[in-house]
Amino acid sequence: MRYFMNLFARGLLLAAVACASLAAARAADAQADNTRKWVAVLQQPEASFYARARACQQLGEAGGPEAVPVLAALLADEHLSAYARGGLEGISGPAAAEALRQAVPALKGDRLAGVVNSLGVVRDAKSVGLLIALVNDPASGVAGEALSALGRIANDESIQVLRATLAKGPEPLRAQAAAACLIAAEKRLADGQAEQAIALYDAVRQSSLPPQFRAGATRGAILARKENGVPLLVEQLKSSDAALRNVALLTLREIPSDALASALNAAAQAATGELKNLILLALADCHNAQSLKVLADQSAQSDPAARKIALTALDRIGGPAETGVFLATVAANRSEEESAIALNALGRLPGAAVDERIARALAVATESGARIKLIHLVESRGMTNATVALLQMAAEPEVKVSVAALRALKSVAGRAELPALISLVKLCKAEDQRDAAENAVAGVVMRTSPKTLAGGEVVLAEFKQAADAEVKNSWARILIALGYPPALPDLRAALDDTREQFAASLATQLGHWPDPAPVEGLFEVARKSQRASLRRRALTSAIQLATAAAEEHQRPEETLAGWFQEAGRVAESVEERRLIISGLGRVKQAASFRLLAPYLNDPSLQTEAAIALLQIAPAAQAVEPEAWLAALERIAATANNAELRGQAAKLAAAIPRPPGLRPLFDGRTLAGWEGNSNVWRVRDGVVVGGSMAGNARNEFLATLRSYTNFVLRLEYKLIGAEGFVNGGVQFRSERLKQPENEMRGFQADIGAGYSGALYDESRRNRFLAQPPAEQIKRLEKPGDWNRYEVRCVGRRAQIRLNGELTVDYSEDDVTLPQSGLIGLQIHGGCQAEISFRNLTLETLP
Amino acid sequence: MKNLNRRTFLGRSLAAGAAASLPWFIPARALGRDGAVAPSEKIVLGGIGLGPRGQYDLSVMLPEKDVQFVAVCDAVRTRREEVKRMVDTHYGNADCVLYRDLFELIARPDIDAVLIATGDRWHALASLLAARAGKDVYSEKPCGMTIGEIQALADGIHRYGRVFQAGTQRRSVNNFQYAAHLAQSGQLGRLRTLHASVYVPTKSYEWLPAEPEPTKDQCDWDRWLGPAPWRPYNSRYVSGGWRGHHDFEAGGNFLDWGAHTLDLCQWANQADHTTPLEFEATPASIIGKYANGVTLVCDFLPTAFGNRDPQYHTATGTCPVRFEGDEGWVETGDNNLLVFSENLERTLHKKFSGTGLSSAGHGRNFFDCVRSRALPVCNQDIMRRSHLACFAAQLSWQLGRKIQFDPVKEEFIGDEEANRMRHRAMREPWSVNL
Repeated sequence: MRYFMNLFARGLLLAAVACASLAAARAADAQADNTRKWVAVLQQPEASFYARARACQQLGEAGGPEAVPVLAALLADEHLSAYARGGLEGISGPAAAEALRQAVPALKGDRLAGVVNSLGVVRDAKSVGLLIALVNDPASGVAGEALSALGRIANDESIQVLRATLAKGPEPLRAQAAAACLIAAEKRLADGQAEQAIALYDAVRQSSLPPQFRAGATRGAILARKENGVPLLVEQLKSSDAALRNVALLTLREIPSDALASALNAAAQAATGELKNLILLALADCHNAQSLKVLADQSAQSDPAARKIALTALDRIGGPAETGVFLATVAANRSEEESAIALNALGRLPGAAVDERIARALAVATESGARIKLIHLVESRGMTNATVALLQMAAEPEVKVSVAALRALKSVAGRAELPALISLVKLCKAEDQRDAAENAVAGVVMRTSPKTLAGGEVVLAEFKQAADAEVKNSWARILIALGYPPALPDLRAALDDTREQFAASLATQLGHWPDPAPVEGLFEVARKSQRASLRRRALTSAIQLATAAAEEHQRPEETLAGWFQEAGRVAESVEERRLIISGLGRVKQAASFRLLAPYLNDPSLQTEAAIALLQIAPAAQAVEPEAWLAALERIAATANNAELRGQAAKLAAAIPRPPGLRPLFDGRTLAGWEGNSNVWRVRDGVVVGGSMAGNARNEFLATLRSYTNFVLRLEYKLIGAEGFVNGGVQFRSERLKQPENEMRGFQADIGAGYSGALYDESRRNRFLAQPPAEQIKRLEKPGDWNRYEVRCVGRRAQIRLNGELTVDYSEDDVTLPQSGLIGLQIHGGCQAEISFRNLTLETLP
Repeated sequence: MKNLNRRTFLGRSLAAGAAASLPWFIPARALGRDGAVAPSEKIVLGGIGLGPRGQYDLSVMLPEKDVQFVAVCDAVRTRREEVKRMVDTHYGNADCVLYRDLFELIARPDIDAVLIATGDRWHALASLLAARAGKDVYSEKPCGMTIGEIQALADGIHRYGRVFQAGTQRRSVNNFQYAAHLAQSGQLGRLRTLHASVYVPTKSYEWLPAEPEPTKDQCDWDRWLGPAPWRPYNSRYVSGGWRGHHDFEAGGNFLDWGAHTLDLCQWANQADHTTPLEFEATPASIIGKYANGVTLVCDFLPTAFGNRDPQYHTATGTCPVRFEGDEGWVETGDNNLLVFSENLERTLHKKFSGTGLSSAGHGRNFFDCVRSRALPVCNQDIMRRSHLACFAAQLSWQLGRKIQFDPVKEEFIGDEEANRMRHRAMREPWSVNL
């Protein structure tokens, strides 16, 4: 059976070999075809430069030797020569090399340099004689390139010339020869001829050439000597030449070995200053067991720079055995930086043995700075073996130590430590300390039993038992942080405690309950309590919990809305309402809009309301669009803060308008309007009427067209000094023949105390409807831009000032025209100027 | 009692506990110089070809107190002048010197290090010229046009004993470091598959129409081309439109992200000394196989900057990687956010500061190494392997066949065409044989 398998396998192998040779033959055919095609391109006189360049490149990638002659013919071409050389370098082989050699005599300058470079690329040994001649001929202009090519060829003959030039050549060529020697040395080394490589490196490093050549050669000389290079390396570390010291530091990282590490250990101890530091740091990259001792020793020396570097290196290479060194650094408490390196290292060293040593160090530490650092370390390592020591320290009178220990216990203590921690809560007097103790109790309960909160019952028992208000408060805070449900009835009952301050503080604390469970109880207190501060704090906490519940989606939308509504009913002060508004801003639901919008009417809350409304913008899609738009326009017109106005305007602009909307003013000209051009003009994109120098009589700018049912929107600004500072907006009006400056019809009045009112101009000459003065005082911004909206449908006319309705009027007299011009007015008898902008008209059916 | 509530308790304690045990966290730099640094102590920095990315790099290097930027060279006048404005504004003087010719800049003995952010075509050559002049080099990626240039570059940096940092800065960004650490430390179990996001590769051999050449002072076209083969001038190349053109962009767009993401996979796989051995392109990805059995998947992202679901979690940001092991996976990107498999979800760190685009920490690592002569996190050898892997992956896509790569000899096995594509000729008189 096995025999058969073998036969079978052999058959497969044979078949595979046959396939492979067939594939090779096909590939050769394809190459020959392609070569012919690309050669043909190069032979076509009319072929473009691009086509010939590409043909050369393709020949370089996949052409055969048949292409050599056509490529060689291009070597003198200024721009194609590089492409042709690419072709020849790719084809390589004897024919290509031969063609390159033959091209040399006829070329000069860059073309010659290129061909010499190519001879180096293909490492053509036959060109050595030719290249030597170019080196020796100062007129060739390519002696440097020829030296480089000789370096790549790197045979005995070429190396001889390189060394001779290095030793005795003309100045500029010596550096070139040095570079070529280094390249030749690399080739020899790669071929296993270390002796020759070393000779070349030594020749260059002993020359008087610029440092980078000597430094590079020194590196090569060290590496080529392998383990015998160590003394040479160490010698360089002591060199007075910075270039050689630097290259030794670099090289040692390439050949780490035990022998080198030993030498470095000695060198580090012998060196001083900057060099010492550099060697110490280098030990991180090349070290043995002894290096750890050297570094440990240095980490305790007097020079702070050396200490810091020794610690840095130890941090990289040290293990648990170095625990003592790092602990000693922490105990010495020298600089923050050193302690940080040591603590960082200690934080990462693995193993229970390290925990053990840290715990022991903590037990014997005396200086409080070091103790606190060690306590933090215990915490970050999550060490559970130091809880006894921590509990002792937690009870110490020194607050900083005690607090650190309590904080650590919060992370590392277990259920077993809970009784001790609970006693500490009772024991601690300083506020920070008690706070940390409370935190520790709560933290341990949450960590050890996040679901059932086992241990909460002990705290609750303490709470019930405690009589002292301060102590009772401690237990309450823990129960509240835990959100321990069985405690709620007792906490609620405690709100009725006769000690007012205690109850009030408890009400505030309940706002931190992790879910909204206490809300109803808090509302109850807020509604019923006679004590002002308790009432206020209970309400505040209820709003906080409702807000948090909204953010975390802990209750359905209707419940949340109900709570805020309830809060609104109970609220008495501006501060409480502000809290409600800010909470509503985080309830990104349509319901908040209805609760928020009314607050825009309250001058002391309108800014908060505007902010909140803008916050819920994404949810406002579900709000009635007209109401939402009105609120935005209101904010855009009236908010005190420019940013809010801008945001609202931007949101409003993004809301799609009804199709009938058109601008009445093009922003540049008074096209579509007529009026006295001495009075009415366009300035900075705004329609301006009247003058601060004085206005003798009424003047109107009227539309050429009449309108019936519409919504007219505009913004006005009226500034005035003396007289009856007034203007207005006519609608469903007409021009009078006599006096020709007047108009007759409805006017939405502006200024002189009549803004927002509806006046019947030059007809019945009386106010048809007038809003209360306080409303206008609240709404209008005198001397600034105000939004005006006039809505006319049938007999009904409504005026809105800054988003709020001021007039809702129905005309009883059916004989009056329900259609007419729109006109802008500046009143006579005043020094005043009126401006209008953003005039749009939405026609209605 | 302050600050304690069941709402927040668990989340916070978890974060605090995890932060304390981040094992790769390197403490305050040992040799850095904060505060006032004497002029003689400063690292003197020059810039070569600083366009938008280079100017960004510079903007995070200028605040380093122990670094002084003194000069920039660029073939394009407006670019030179932009940099001067930026530098002079920062220092409040008019000292930034401008050069059109990079030889004048690298000949200055006072310059210790250079920031190179030219187009791809110049990266290797400029780096080598600077190294040979004794400068340390921070070069944007891709660091060379071909496998051959990368080899010459890495060898040349060693040759002159220089410090080199490749601009693959994500190795210096926290969330990527953490993701790699999880993979390296076995927290994902045995590694199986590493995902590197890349653009859909493209390659164009077309040329743009010829336009009249501007004056040498405005744009020195010959210098702009540098080692790239000559073609007629077109202003679009100069203003960033060189991308996508075979002669100007390395690896057909693959390295733009691949140099980062594949590099991160190399790192996660602890494969900085090697590359995958085999690459094969599929319509959606290029798949590589490492010797240790780990699979590399370079996923083409049709909308690299838009929705990347379901290949990756769009929320993690651009340039994402995902490391998958037997016991879990982690994914992260430029938004410093990490996403984990469900089993790791509760225990691991999710969010870090910093973004994958920021090279501030990477630059600092370079300057630290300029001082200590230690190897930067993306030194020439690490760059060499991840770039070679990128080129090999891209060639498998370009050639449309499975290719095998020998990471020791750095050659393709039995594929002459692929081997030839490791190299392109440089326009005379340029050569990387320096």
